[in-house]
Amino acid sequence: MEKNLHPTPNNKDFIWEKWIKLNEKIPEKGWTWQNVRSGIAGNVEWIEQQIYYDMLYTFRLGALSPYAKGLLEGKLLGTKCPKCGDITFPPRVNCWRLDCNLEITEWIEMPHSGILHTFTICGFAAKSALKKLPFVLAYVLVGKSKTAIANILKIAEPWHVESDMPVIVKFTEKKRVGNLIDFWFEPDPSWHPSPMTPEKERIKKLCEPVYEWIKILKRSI
Amino acid sequence: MPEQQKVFIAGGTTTPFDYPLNLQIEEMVANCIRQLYKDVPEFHLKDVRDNGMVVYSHFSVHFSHQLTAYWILHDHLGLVGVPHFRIDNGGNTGGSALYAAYALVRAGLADVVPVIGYELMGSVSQSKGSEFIAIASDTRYEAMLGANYTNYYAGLARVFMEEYGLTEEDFAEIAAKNKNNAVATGEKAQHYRKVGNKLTVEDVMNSRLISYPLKKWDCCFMSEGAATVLVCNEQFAKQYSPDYYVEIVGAGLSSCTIRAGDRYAFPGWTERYGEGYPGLGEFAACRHSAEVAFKMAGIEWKDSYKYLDVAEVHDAFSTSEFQIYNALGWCQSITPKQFIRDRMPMMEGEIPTNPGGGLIGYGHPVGATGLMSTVECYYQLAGLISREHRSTDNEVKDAEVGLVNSHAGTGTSISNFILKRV
Ligand SMILES: [Zn+2]
Repeated sequence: MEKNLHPTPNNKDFIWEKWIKLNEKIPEKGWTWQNVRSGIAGNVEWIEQQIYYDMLYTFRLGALSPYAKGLLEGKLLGTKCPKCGDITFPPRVNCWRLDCNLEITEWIEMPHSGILHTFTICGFAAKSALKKLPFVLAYVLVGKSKTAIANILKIAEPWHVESDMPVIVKFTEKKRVGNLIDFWFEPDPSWHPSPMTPEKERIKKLCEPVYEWIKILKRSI
Repeated sequence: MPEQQKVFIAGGTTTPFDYPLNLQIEEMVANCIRQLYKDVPEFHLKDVRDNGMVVYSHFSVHFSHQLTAYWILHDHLGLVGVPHFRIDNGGNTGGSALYAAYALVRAGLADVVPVIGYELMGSVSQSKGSEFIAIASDTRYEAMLGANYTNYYAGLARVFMEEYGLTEEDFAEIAAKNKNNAVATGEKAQHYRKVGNKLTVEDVMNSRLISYPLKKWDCCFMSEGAATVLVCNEQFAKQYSPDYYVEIVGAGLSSCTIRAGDRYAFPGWTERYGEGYPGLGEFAACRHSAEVAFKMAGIEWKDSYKYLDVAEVHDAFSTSEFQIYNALGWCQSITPKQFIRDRMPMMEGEIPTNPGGGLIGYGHPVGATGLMSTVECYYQLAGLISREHRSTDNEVKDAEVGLVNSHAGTGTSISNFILKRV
């Protein structure tokens, strides 16, 4: 095999473990007719149909597999270019420098600590994350990475978050899935919030209705 | 070999933008073409058949519950045998489709190229819709967090805010400006259709937290609609709209990382602009594409607003509009803080920005958005505001040079165009 290329394994060489039968829980049915309704708006006749369409994706991680396997084992794997030495996390399986001619990078273990570059305090998010509101989305430079990675920063009082604060990585003790959601950031224990400022008071006030809303939301689920 | 030719815009129109719009895509687009027939009586699709192509501008097949949805449109318009293709470039789909039409006419491969953009977004629930849009972020990483583009943009805005000492009020000024400009635009603008009245900076400040520093009124809303821009060569421009045509004198298209965190020290940018740029707070692809477009038009990037009379830019968020000012070189001789406090982008300011309402006021049906910005800029330069808008409160009188900006991802693809009244 050409050593400058990522290997393309043959299907015959895979030993697939049987998938847990997801489709018993989430049956795939394709186009499923559900509903129809109609009416008149002004003098315009209208009709609407609700049609359910579903799909189950398989993400095949390929060259990124070591990264995902690392997460399963509670490790953060980034990449390092053997030519220029650039380290990136999230990983890049080929170097990003045009001068390095797409050099295949090496896997390196990243420390479980970093510096927060920027953040936002989310008062609204996608459905899967609503119950976590208000949460902090942080861009963090892990170890010596030249790229920042986005993930959740868990902190009791989000208005205290600040640029350049040191953070640590925590892995879930529950079932890991080899994805970003297996870990999150927390303030480094050595870090202490600075005193309240008018901006912090303002953010705290903006968060109040979010806490109220989430209480109601949690009750209704 | 075909010869290079100058490129013009001889007409343009949009459907109303709303959510949902309750229309099928073929009637949306047919309405646009029939409106063009009315506004530009000399234009006919037969010219496209004989001398042209069609560039379709459409972002998401997820939303359209249909692959290659433009195939439905093309034969619906009576066109077979006419070359067609579709551009998808995220939020910069409209700008990129315009760029493609520009390139085709410029290269002499076609003489009349309508750019037809559309987006259905009310085909799914709002939360599913945000998720569909978030699928344009890296699904192996960012999208899995349950965050969406508003959250990413807020993170980028916050570091920009910190860098330049800006406040939430500075952004709220922009949000209120665009909502209020849309009130003058009228029936086609989503804010006028849905809310109908003006908002104050206080209204923006008091609206609910979406993602700090963004509140509800700082953000554009999901919308549906279609837009068409009639791109052509000089001969057709003079034939179609002798009194109402503008020239595209500059066009730039650039790109940046899909994951915003990856541009912290990307070699492609540090080699061009030096260490520390763009970081996460600046839109380097906006600066770069603007520099390209400005150079073609003989405009300097630094303080470029001095050469421009009007700008229609991609204000998905009030904060990103501000970041665009900076990327366009408008805050070089004065600080960003002074730029907004001097009310430079307001109707009465030096460079009225988004007089049509922008995405915040007019709406953001992705595939149609960049074309809407183009149409609004065209109306200003062609002196058509009194014909097209509810009131002339948002008219920039005697505007001669305008800028159109279209913007995607977290700044991942950005185009800029300079239009000039002929
Ligand atoms: Zn390298």
